[in-house]
Amino acid sequence: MSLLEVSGLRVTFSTPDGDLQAVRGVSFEVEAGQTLGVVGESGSGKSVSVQALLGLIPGARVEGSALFDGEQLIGMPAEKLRRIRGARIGMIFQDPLSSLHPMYSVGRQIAEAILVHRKVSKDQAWSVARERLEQVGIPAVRARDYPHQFSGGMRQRVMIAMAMALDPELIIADEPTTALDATVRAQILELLGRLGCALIIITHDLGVIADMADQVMVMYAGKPVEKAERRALFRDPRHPYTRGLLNSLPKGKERLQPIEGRPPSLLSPPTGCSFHPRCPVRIPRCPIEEPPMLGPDDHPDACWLEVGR
Amino acid sequence: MSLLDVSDVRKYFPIKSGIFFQREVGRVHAVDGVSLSVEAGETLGVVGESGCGKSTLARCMTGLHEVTSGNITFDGDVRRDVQMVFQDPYGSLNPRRRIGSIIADPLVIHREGTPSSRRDRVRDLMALVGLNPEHYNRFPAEFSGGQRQRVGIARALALNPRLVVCDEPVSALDVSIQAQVVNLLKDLQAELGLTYVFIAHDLSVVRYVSDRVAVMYLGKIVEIAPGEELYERPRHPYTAALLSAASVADPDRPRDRVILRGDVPSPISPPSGCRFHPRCPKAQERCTVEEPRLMGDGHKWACHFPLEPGERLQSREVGE
Repeated sequence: MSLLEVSGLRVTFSTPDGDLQAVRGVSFEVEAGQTLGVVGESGSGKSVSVQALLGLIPGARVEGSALFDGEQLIGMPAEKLRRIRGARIGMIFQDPLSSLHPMYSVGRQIAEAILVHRKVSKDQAWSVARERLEQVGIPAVRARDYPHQFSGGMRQRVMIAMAMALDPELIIADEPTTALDATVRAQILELLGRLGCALIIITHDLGVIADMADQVMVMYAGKPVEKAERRALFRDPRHPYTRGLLNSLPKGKERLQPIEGRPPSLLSPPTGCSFHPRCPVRIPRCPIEEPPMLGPDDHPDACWLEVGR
Repeated sequence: MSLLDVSDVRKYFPIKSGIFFQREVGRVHAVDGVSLSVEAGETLGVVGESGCGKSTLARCMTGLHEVTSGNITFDGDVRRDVQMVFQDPYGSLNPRRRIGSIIADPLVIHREGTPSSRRDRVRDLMALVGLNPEHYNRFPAEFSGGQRQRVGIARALALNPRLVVCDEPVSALDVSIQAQVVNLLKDLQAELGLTYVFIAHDLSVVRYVSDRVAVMYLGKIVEIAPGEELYERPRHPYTAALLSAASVADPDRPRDRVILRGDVPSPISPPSGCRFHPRCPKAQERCTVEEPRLMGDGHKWACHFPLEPGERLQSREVGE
């Protein structure tokens, strides 16, 4: 059994312009101790799909199934979900400044997270908080400092310390390095690589995926289009969208090959395969029928061209 | 003569305190003694992390900031022939004005042509950057990020400038859209004979577009060289660390990132001697007292103990 098994996940928002389907059928598994990379462009549903599992998106209609260690997360009572979130599943967000409370010291914020979930004394919680800060490379004496006294990279370390506070089995990192500079980004990736628990990294940066992920899921317009082991994805990208993404990246002086057009509106997604309006290799079947995940089990992709392979 | 000459330019921003009699309590040394030249027809890339002064330098070049000291000489009329493309395609277009009138702004300001000739010119510009000229009367909100950046480019080109300073022109865009805009900038350069100063933190994009690349750290240029030379044979330890930390979509790349300690120090009170010494794996006594000058010919670097060709910067840990 996998640590996390998600199947048929759908997330819908009601808007004045009609229903917006941000996530339209996502299935994936995360094994204990493994890193899953979820990559896609803005609006692909990569963040929404993971946050919805944890009940972090109020006002959204969430359907499907998500088994965490055998327990169904979708539809779980809020109080029960809260006991899992933070204790067994940690979260790291893109912008640490808006995720930390500006008026409490970082040590207090970490200690508080521990006190909510564990029956320990305040002193014990503080000593765990200091220990966690040391583990992420922040001297324990700085536990009494406030978020504004830290740089962007240090704040992200605080977020990681907080996510690790209760030894969760799974940490979800949503664009953990996007707001950081290159040299600081390298520090944070190195730290994330040492965590040891299962990790879901959500990013638009294929470089992060190439560095960190064991398994990769590529998303487009609210759906996975390709899943593969990291090396297989970069060596043998199968879906035209994945190929387009990789070709868009500069490689020396070769002319870039962008994907023409732009992502569709999710208020009225295209018929058939949602990538077909931008796809350079579409066939007559693409605008009519939506391709399921096809191809080998360890490297499936949602493209009709798989049928002829 | 070069198209643009920047010589020993400094830009300090005062930090003031007090309510009635504001006195200066410190200065942000945003750009601190930068000299470089831009030749006609080339693309000069400028890379560096946030706070290194690359955007301030761009604003000095275009005349948006007055320099504190030093000289910038441009072979032509700075207000006409130097234009700028900004990073944020959402913040740099007035949401309440129509695209056509936004693009026509430079023409109006410089009293070019008549209303009807301006309209024709704007339609031509829109076609040039790949926008549908029929969308002349639309508002910015009706366009996607990539299209808005095209509007920004059309506006910059309205007066047939000679130099276009692009400040992070693609950083706010998705990967697949980035490539469209970068290709457009390349094509326009070939077609119109433009000169670019291209500022970005994405090293691979800079490598792709630039003929020469300057690396900035805390208000100073630490290394400047022809693009391939810089990427293949970096001499300054900071350049080497930056290159090793760059995001590369290659799962087989050896994970021997040089992990630099700490963050970029504050530009309010930059470190003594070489500004990189507190983070530099190669720093020695001399680096803390004596500031290295930018030296060399063609490939210049500012370091007392540069990396020898082929030397690898000592990394603190080797992955995998």
